[in-house]
Amino acid sequence: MSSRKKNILKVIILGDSGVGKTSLMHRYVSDKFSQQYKATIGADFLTKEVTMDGDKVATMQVWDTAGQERFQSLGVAFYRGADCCVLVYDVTNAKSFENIKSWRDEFLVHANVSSPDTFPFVILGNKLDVEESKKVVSNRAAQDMAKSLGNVPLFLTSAKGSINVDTAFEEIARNALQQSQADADAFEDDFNDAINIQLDGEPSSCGC
Amino acid sequence: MVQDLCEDYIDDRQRPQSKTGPHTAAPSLLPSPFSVGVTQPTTSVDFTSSFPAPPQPFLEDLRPSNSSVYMDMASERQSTITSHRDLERELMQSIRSLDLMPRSHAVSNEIPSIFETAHGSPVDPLPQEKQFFILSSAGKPIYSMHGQDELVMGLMGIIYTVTNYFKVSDNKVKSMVNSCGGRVQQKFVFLDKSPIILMAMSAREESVNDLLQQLDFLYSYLISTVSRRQLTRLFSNRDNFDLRHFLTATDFHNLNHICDSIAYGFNPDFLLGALRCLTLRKSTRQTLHNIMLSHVQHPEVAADRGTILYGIIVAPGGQLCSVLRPRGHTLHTTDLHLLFSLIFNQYQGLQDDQELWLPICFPKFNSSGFLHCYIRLLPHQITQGKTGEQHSNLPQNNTDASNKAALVLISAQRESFFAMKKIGQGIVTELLNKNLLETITAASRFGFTMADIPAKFVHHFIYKSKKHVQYVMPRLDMLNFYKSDFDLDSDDDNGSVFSISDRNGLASSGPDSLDPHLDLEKSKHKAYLYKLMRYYTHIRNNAVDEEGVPFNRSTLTFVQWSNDQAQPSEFPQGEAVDMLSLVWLTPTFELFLICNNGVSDRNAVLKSAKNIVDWCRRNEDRLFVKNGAIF
Repeated sequence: MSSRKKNILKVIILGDSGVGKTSLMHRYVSDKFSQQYKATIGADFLTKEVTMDGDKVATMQVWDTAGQERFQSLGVAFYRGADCCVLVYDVTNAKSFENIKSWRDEFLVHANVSSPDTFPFVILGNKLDVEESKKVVSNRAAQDMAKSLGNVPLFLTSAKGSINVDTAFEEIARNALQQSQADADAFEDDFNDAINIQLDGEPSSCGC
Repeated sequence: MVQDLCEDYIDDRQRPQSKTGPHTAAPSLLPSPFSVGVTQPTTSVDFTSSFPAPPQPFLEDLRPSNSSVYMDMASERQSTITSHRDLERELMQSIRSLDLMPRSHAVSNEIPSIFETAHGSPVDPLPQEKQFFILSSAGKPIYSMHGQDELVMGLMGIIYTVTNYFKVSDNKVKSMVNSCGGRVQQKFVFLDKSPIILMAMSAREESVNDLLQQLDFLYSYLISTVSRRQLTRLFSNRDNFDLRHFLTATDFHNLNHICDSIAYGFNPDFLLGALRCLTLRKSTRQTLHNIMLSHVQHPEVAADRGTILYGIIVAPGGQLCSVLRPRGHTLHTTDLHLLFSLIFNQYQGLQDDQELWLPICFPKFNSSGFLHCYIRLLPHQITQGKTGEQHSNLPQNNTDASNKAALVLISAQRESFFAMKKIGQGIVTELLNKNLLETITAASRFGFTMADIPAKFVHHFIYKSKKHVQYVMPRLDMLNFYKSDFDLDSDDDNGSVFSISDRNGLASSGPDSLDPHLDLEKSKHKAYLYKLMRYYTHIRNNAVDEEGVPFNRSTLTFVQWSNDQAQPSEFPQGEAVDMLSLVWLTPTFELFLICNNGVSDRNAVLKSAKNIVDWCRRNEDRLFVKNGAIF
């Protein structure tokens, strides 16, 4: 009797301002890139149908949040009910890399996830296309960080050069799907919620 | 002014002069119970030929503007706390002061289309006119009335954001208005029932309260199928839960049906927050009550008090016939709407001898658990000369499955099916033996018409008794008077939430659908009902504020629409619009009245309104279920 609706995967993208969250999303969803920087206000919402492992189809609902501090008042509300959280840093910006951990903690504090230890994160190091001299975050440091946060998958990407974006999002989708199905079957439905009726009790308030 | 009714006098009187009404051409199964004071239909010119008006200019405005075509006379809101007479005097003054130039054209019994509909067709308007969304508190889509997932997903994010903005800023108001040039274009109303969020969008004349009521009904539907306790449990500790996987295809079908009927059907039930009641003779209704009562109080059953909670007999179109209830307990209107919606949409395919045992959560009764409903459709009973024969003489065109009444017995005990079955069988047998199903069938088809009431100039009205939370209205005939066969097939419930939806194909799968002419008539009728509904919505919202509260404890408001005769080109048929309507809200009743096009005599209309109120009060015993059968 199930309605055979596609799975919906809520994916939230976090990271410092200007690391390329919106660009990554646009590259992934519409395969486009714009040189111009435009700060995201509040959040952007994009949708993409994904096919994983050949046959599993789902609809990915990407919530691209604003990195700027001043848009954060609503920000935490967006975390609720995410199936996967993507943490983005800029390989040319050491501060954005250091902040990955605090973004993750912030997410766990506000998202109210059932099991924080197993909640899927994916880390993306963006702007891989820039010349080597400008890169300040070493691959080694990134791998260490990913490992220390619980073997979080790490991808080095470039939204501009379209490097690794699809691969990264496929991993994100797979993780999200796993998370969304983790306890979907843990519920048995029956109509056992009996109501105790006391007919001689006080009159009910409803008019009819 | 309420006179005691001489029951026998009216009952025994034969109908002396009602042969003029078109419906009487059909074989009469039941004489109309209202045969005193019959007036001729208030028609002088029939504009039927000009009826279906394609796209019409938008002639109304929510607030009076400098537009010359809309004259809002709603300013004459008067308080009548003191007495009737004061009200009259004040009204007389306002009427005199606002007397308009009499119009020269003839009075029409047809009402013009004055409300803008997207692309002219009420059956298929642009989604921009009306939308419903349901999403989880995590922003995951659950349901949307229009649009594919991919399209609405982003909108869900925005709805989510707005809802959270309201939450963060602790805003009491949960609605937004998109206006352009001082005119309201769309209203957006949000209902946060964490873990789900609902939003309605409307470009019509509905108030915030109207939309909230509609959202509450959608929410109540979800609760009726899932229960609040289960819903909370499903989302507890996993905000990412996808409720769409828990709901069934039937649930989505029902949501579609509810949304469609709210948006395009004729549903005063939501607007008024009341149930429609089937007009029956007082003695007939009492017999129904007694039959239910006697079977419930049968010694074998009565021993197990608490087995049965409620019993209901309901006629097609969700018209209440009889209610059985424990002393001091009643069911909420919304709960009954939900129940009727299920019966008359989903379960009309039941055979006469089939029974249904169905768990339903009644959200207003108790949202945390399920009650169990024994549902059985009551067979059509067309007897020839009281012989008790069934079915054989049912006309072909009359086998519309949506026209079956139903018996519902409600219990809190899951195991009590056989006890309910026994009571149910006893009730059905007795109803058949006493030929009461025939009476119910006939009453639900014929009801009463404007010709039964001495109220001239009135096209249609709705009278709600606030005490009973029920309303009545004259029968809505299909316009095809020339085909007398179909007069039987009164499509009162067309487009109502209590009828089979077109989407499931049942309604159009009969032999009728082979007749393109009838299809045309049906769609015309649907368009007419839709038009009427918008009139009622508009005039009601002229007398109440956005929260649905009347401006005064008692309010009498005239609303008038007229087009400028200097610019007749605005209407394709050159039809002059001069529509007068009246809303009369008091602590005891609500009257909504729409006049024939061309009527401008307010004194006469006010007199008609009073006649209607008098008539409804006089006939209260027939029009409404008063106490029901109490055990």
